[in-house]
Order: sequence, then structure tokens, then C-alpha cells
Amino acid sequence: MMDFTSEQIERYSRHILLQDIGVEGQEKINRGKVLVIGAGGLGAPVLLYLAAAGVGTLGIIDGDVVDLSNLQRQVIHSTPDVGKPKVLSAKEKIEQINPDVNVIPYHDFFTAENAFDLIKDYDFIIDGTDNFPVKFLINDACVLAGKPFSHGGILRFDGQTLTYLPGKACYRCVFHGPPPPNAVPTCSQAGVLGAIAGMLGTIQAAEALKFLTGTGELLTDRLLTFDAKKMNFRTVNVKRNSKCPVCGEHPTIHELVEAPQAACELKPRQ
Amino acid sequence: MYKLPDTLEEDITRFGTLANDYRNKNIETVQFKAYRVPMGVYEQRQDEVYMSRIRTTGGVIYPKQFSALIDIAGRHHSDLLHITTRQEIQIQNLKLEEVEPVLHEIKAIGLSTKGGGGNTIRNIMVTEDSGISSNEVFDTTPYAMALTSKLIAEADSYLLPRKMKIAFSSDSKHPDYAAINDLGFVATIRNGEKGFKVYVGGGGGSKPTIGWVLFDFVPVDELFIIAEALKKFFSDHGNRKNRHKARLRFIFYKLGEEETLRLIKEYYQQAKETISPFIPESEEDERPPFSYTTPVINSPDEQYEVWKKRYVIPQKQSGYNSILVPFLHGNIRLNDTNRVKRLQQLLLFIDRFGKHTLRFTPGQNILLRNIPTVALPEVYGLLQEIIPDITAPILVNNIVSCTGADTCRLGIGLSKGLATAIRKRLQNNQLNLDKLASLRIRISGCPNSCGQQLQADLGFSGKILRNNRIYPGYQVYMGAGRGSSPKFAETIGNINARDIPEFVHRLLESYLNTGTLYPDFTSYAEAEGKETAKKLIEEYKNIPSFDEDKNYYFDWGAENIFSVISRGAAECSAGLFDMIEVDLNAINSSKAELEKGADNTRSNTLLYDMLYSSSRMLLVTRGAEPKTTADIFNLFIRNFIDYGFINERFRKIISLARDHKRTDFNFYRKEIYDLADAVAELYKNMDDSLQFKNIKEKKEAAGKEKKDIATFPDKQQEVNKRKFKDLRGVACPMNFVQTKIQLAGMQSGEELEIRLDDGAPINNVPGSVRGEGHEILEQIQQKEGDWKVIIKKK
Repeated sequence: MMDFTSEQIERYSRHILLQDIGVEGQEKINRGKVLVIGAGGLGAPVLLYLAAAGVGTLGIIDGDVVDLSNLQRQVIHSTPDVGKPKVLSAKEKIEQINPDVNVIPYHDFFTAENAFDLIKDYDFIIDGTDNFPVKFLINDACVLAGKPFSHGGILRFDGQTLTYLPGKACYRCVFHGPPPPNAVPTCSQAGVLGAIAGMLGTIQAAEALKFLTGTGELLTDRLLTFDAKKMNFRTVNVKRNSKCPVCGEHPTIHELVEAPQAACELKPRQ
Repeated sequence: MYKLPDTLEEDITRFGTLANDYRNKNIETVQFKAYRVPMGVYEQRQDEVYMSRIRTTGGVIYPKQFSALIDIAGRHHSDLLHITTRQEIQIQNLKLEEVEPVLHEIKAIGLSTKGGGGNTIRNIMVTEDSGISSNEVFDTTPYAMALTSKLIAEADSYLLPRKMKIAFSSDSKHPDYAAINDLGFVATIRNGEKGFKVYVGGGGGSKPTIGWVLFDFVPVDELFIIAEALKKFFSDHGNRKNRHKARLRFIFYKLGEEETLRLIKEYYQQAKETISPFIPESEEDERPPFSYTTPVINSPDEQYEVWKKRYVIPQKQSGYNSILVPFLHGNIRLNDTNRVKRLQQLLLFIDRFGKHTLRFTPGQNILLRNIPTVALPEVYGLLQEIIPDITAPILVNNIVSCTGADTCRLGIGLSKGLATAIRKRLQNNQLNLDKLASLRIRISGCPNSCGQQLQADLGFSGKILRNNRIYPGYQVYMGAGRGSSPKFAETIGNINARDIPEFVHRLLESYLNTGTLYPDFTSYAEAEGKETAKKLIEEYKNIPSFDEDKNYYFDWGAENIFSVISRGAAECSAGLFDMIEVDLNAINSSKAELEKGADNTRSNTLLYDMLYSSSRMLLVTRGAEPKTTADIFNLFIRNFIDYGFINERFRKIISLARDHKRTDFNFYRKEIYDLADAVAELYKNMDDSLQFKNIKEKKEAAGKEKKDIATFPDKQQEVNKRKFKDLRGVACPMNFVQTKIQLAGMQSGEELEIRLDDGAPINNVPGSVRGEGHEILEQIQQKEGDWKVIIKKK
């Protein structure tokens, strides 16, 4: 058993009180390692809540710097951070929230080359990215490496999320592959209600905490979607697809490749 | 019919109150569950969906009661009635708010669910054709009823260490269920006096056994004395600590046969002094006078004679018959309104021949009885619209299987899918299945015995098999004893799931080809059947590779490739040891293949598999639940190597398996073998409470090469030391948080004393502690007004 300091007991008391979490669950959280890909709209609430919950190690990968247009939804960054690498801005906030957390920033983009290296040390991965090719790349990497992850996507007033565990339906089982570049607008082209990012990100954070503590039922084999305009939530049962190119019976994807990036306002790589 | 317990009305009302409290979150899940389960109300696999199990002693239910039950279920939005292998009936898929009204209405028709679950006296079974069979010694049903009425009225019947199952057999040549229940009575007559041969301690499930014979003969008037003596004995000596080793038979395993029987006889002598002999009431006439005229326009079709031959058995009372009505998997689907309407008509129809006209069977079917021969055509007419294939050979309609991996978290195989596949195969052939009418094919989806494979002529239990990948398979059982010396079916070997229907067909064909050589399948099995089965299994041993034929890697009725990833953690760890065995077997079969010689690539895979299984095997005993492959290795290191249960030198190889799966494990062959042996040795030394015996000596022996082994607190040593925490001055809820922190660091059974302030703390904390399943041993107010509370960790 870990020995909690009295400060930690106080800090995490509202978790410890929960019968399904308790001391053991909080220990699991404190030992947990989560990698958040993208420190933007989704990454911001995910990081804030996971940090507050006391997740032991939080990896953050993002190659961007904070832009003024980000601040409408990316609540981990503040006005003085504009121009600062997002991973550093996020790291500073997390350390203020909870000094227990070990933050590992990677100021880089998530690519086919670095994917396996990045995810290998983490228990759970969170997709907080804003474009399809990377979402599929994350899926393929996690499926091939047998890593659980949470998929999340938002657009305008809508959100969707799915949790992957080895053996369960993956993102590609549901959505075969990325749409052709520009067929679907990315957030920056279409706009998004800032609070939607918070709604979906906190769901992803809750999934990560449930996974780490083994509590409840994960959002596996179920796709949760919501339309915030009507505030309708629904979960659609999805099944592992035997024809899935990455986890089906005759997989065609054996290594990682990146689909062409949608031509959104992608920043040049550093 | 049995007499309802006097407290039933209060019990149901209390259930309703607790259900409300639970819904409003005023009480914790466990508090509600502790009351709900002994009331015969279970939560189903789906959260917040409930099943209520109704006691029907010996499967006895009156047609009017059954008809009313169908109405009750329908009115409260259930869509499924289910006949169980203990001759009971369940109303499934109920919402919680419907349960209390359902229980009241069930009571109103003279039935009860109390004792349907939990550590109670469960439904008492009786030979299904008792009272009507010409082979029986005497009808034991009235005794089963009287015993039910007595036991369910007594409070201590609901506070046993574990469930207690009782069965009666009316046929002395076929002890049947009596020999495999905790307490069994077999009708016997000695010197003209009615009595019972008494079996105790039998049971399927984990560590199954045939019961021990307690008495060859006791007169019937000692029935209550025996039952009460055994109940008291069980209550005093049963293992209340570990529910997985709590059934009566475990006392035999612990104390030995001689000592256990001696002790039970002591209880019997004491009971004799306090309990008066039981004088059975005179039996009511099962066949009252009736009036029935055959309808004029009712000429049954040409299949009528076939049906009659197959399903109708003349009773010992001339002019009367019993009729088997098969329900697939025991299910009566209420949304099939046409069939339900017909079933209601049938019940109304048979009611005119008296109340004693139907029973539930352990084969999950209905057996109509006391049906006059003249009424058979009309019954046939009604049945045609209730049961599809009503004229098919009995064997086809009477394959029993548990629910399997479809809905059970422990399931390995899709047992219902296999049953359907066998059924189909048998329907499409030329075999004379009527000669096999009494053959019992029984299928379980996992090594537990819910599908009764141990009582089968031909049984199967789900098993994970593997070549270079896993595929669905079954362990095959044959030859349960049916004569006067009961015995379980024996295991014959393993077979892939795909080939089972063909295997069954060929085996039955070979039996039928022996003509009249053997009187029944059991004698055939003993003489040559088991050998034939082994030879057949050998033929099916090598299955096509995945690329040649994928069908072998799909289970029957499955849409996805066979996998065990979705196999959940054990709901109750009755399956704990089975789960361990899965890995143990996998290790052994890898070893076996390695011994035979395998090329480098293959042996590398096998060695990795051994590492994997060795690491996973005992995790379940530590409550560790790996989610990923890396987890398995990490948890093994944390729970076994860090604690010094497994030698430090294996840390390296485990880490290699975790981080570099592509390592050539051939270099580490000896090391991996040693690890597998070490794990197997540790398992051997595990005691009832999942602690490792002798581990101390081992640690000392290994102590020279090891410096800093963390000590795993020894239960016996620590139990006397009570921990203490002063929580005076600590407000809610932090006082509860602190209590939980203390408890988390303690072993089960250890005690913690806390001090709490008066007021909100004493009013809240003990309840919350109890809500998490711990026990409050003592709660005393101190002179200063504060409280001392002693907690025993669950």
C-alpha cells in the first residue's frame, strides 16, 4: 500500500469516500500513467481533471503553440501564454493544481515514427486531436500495441467518444478510414461551441479514471454521441468488425502509415 | 403444497421498504443485496434488471397457480419465465419497482420466493415421476412438502454458512439427485416399514462429490430429526469465512469422512431428544373424479401416434398418463402471445383432472401427469400450438445446456449454440433416436456444473484449446451412474467445438450398431463406449490451421473469432479454481508440446505462453485484475516477486516478456520451466483462505541470497493485534475517510478500534462502514460522551 500523507488524504478524500474508488482506487490513480495527445480543446479539460484526480504520470504531446483563437475553449491556457508551446503552458497549470503529478511534455506532433515509442510506457491513451488522419493513427498504434485508449471528437455542437480496449471494437471497426482531405471540416474551419470541448473532454477524463480504478463499465463497444443544441445524448452499440483493416480477421494494416493530412490550418512542424 | 412462512407478509413489505431506500440511495447496494438474495430476488447480468425465483417443491405447482403466475409476470412487464434445473420457476427481466408487488401477488396464490437464493435451504427436489412410476418404492412428495413447510418457517434456515440443497428420490434403484445434494433421502422399505437411506455432503460445482451414506435406513418419522440435526451441524461447523469452501462437503474434506459422520451422528442423537417424530399426513387423492367427453370433431393427425409413443408414458395407475412437454432451455417466452394463450388453455384444460397434473423437471421441462388416456388427443392438439417439433424424438428436444458465454461472465463456450448444433445434426440423420430417448446430453459453457455435465451420459464443458492460437473446445464426459451406485460422469478427453455434432452422431451410431448387446447406454459406455469415444476424439485432435479453415476458430453461433478477452472477472469466484486450472493446463500442454520437439519459432512461442500463463495463473488469488498483457507481468512482479513468494531471480525474465516480446525465449528455457514449477508449487501450498502455507520456511531457506523481502503479514499472527485510531475531533466525512485508510492497510478479519465524537460522527460512520461490507462488533458510548467502535474488516 502507498502511504498517503495527511495532505493527500485530505486532497483525495472525496475519491476515497466513494465505495467504488476508496483507498485502493486512489492508489491506482496515483500509480496510473496516462498520455494525452493534443493539449487543445479536449486535452485541456482532460488534463485539468486527471491532474486534479492525482494521476501519477501525465504525458502530453502537442507540437503547437498557444494561439489567441485557442483560448475560447482550451481552458488550460491563459492570455499571457499566447505564443508559448502548449505542452509547457499545460505543464505549468498542472503543477499549480497538483504537485503530486509527474508531467512529461513532448513538444512534437504524434507521428507514425514516434507513435509506438510514445505510447509504450502509458496505461491509457487519450485522443484529444482535431483531425482524422491522426485519430486513425492513434487508433492503429493503440490496437497494434494493445493499448487502451479513448477516442473523442467534437464539431460545432456535436461530440462523440468511444473507449477502446484490446478485443473490443476499435475506431476503425466503426469508421473504416479517414474521409478524403477537406470532405469534413476540422474545428478550425467549422467552428465549435467552446463548452462542447469541456463536455466531451470530461467524459474522456472520467473514462480514464474508470479504467485506472477498474470501476463501472467503460464505453467499450458503444459510441456515445451528443447534440448539445437539443442536449440529446445517446449511445449506439457497435461491434467489433471482422473486416476491420486493423483488428479484423485479415488485417491489412500491419504497420503505421499516415494518411494525407486534411488541409486545415496545419502549423508547420517544429 | 407447502405452507407459507408466517412472516412472509412482513418479509415482503420489508423488502419493499429496503428496495425504496436502495432506489433513493438511502442504503448501500450491499445492504439491499443481503436482504434481497435470501428473498429469492437476484440482479441479472444487466444492471437493475431482476429475477425472482419461486419455490416449487419437487416441481409441484397447480395448473391454476401456474396460470396465475403467467398473468402476474405479464402484468409486471416480464417477458420470460424460466424453469430451472432445481425444478423451480423464475420470473425474469423485472424492474425493481415491480418486484415487491410481484412478491405479494405470488404470495396471494400460495407460493413464496423466500430462500430462493443466498445461504438458505433451497428448493427441495423430488424424482419427477414420483407417485406415478411403477418402479418406485413409495411417493416421497408428501415428505418433501412437509419438510419444506417446516424448514422455511424457521429463522435459522436463512442464516446458514452457505446454501443447503435437499433432494428426495422415490426409486431406491436410482438415488439420482439425492446422492448429489447436501442432504438426500432415498425411499426404502425395511421389514415392511417405510424409511429412507440418507446421503449427506454430495454436490456438483467446485470439488464435486457423490454424497456419503449417513444411514442405510431410518424410519420416515425421523425425517425432521435428520434434517434439523444436519442443519445445526452445518450451521456450527460450516466454513463461514470462505464461501467458496463452505458447502457441506468441505467439512468432509477438512475433517475426514469418519470424523464428520461421527459428528453428524452426535447431532442426530441430540436432535432425537428434542424433536418429536414426524407423522406424515395422509396423502390426498391425486386423481379426483372428473367429467370429460371426447370432442366429436377432433381427429388427431397422423403424427399423433408418433408423439404418443415418444412423449406419453402410461402411469402405474391404469388409464392415466404422464406427458413430457419440452421447453428449449427451460424458457417460456411471454411475448409470444399466441403460444402463451395456448399454454393458458392447456392449464385450464388439465385443471379439470385435478390440481396434481403437472410438475417441473430437472431437465427444465414440464411433466404433465394424471392425464386420462381419453384426453390425450385434445392435449396433443393444444401442445401442437405450444411446442414446435412436438413430435421430434425426445433426445432432440431434451438436450440441457447452461446459458453459456452468451450471457454468463464465466462462460468459455457458447453452450446453447452447441446444443442447437447437436440438435440439428441429430435431426438430419437416419439414427433410431427413439432408442436413445432417455439419453442425457448435458452441456456447460465452462468447468462449473450448471449444465449438469457430471450427471450426463454424454456431457461437455467449455474449454480453451490451443494450437498456435486458441480455439473453442470442450472437455468430454461419459457414463454417469444411473443405477443404485451413483457416480459422476468421467472425463474422456478434449475435443474442438466444431466437430462435436459429428462426434456425437458417430458415437451414438456406434452404440446403436451394437443392437441389443447392452441393456442401456451406461453399460455400453462402461464396456466399450468410453474407448470408442477416446478413439473418435483422437481422430478430431488435429484441426486445420487458421488459414485452411477458419470455422474451427469460431464457436457455435458466434460471429467473432473465439477469444477469451471478453470473459469477465468471476461474478462469484466459484470459478476461481477453474480459472487457475485454465492456466495450469495451458502450461502443461505447452510443456507437452515442447517435450515432443518443436522448431525454434514454435518453441519460442510456447515458452512465451508459459511465461504468460505462469504470471497470470495466481493473480486472481490476489484480487489483481490485469487489463493488458503488460499488466499481467507487472502485477505478477508486484504481487509475487516483490513479496518474496517467487524468487527474485525470475524478475529479469518476466520483465523481458513484458518489454521485449520478440526476445528469443529459447535461451531461457530452463529458467521458464523453473518459474512454471515455482508457481505450481505455490498453488499447491495455497490454503482455503488463499494464503500460502509454508511460505515462511521457504523465505528463510532462500534468505541467504535475498536481503529485503517484504513480509506479507501473516493472518494468524496479526489477527490478535487490534489496530486503533482516535478520530475524536475529526469531522464528517474526514473521519470516515480516515477509517477507510486504516482498513485498507489491514487484512480481512482483523479488528480496528476507532473513537468517534457523539452526534453526526457516531450517527454516520458505523453505518457507512457497514455499508462497505465490514462488520461492527461493538459500539459503546464512553464516559466523556464519545464512542468506541470496533470494526472487523471484511
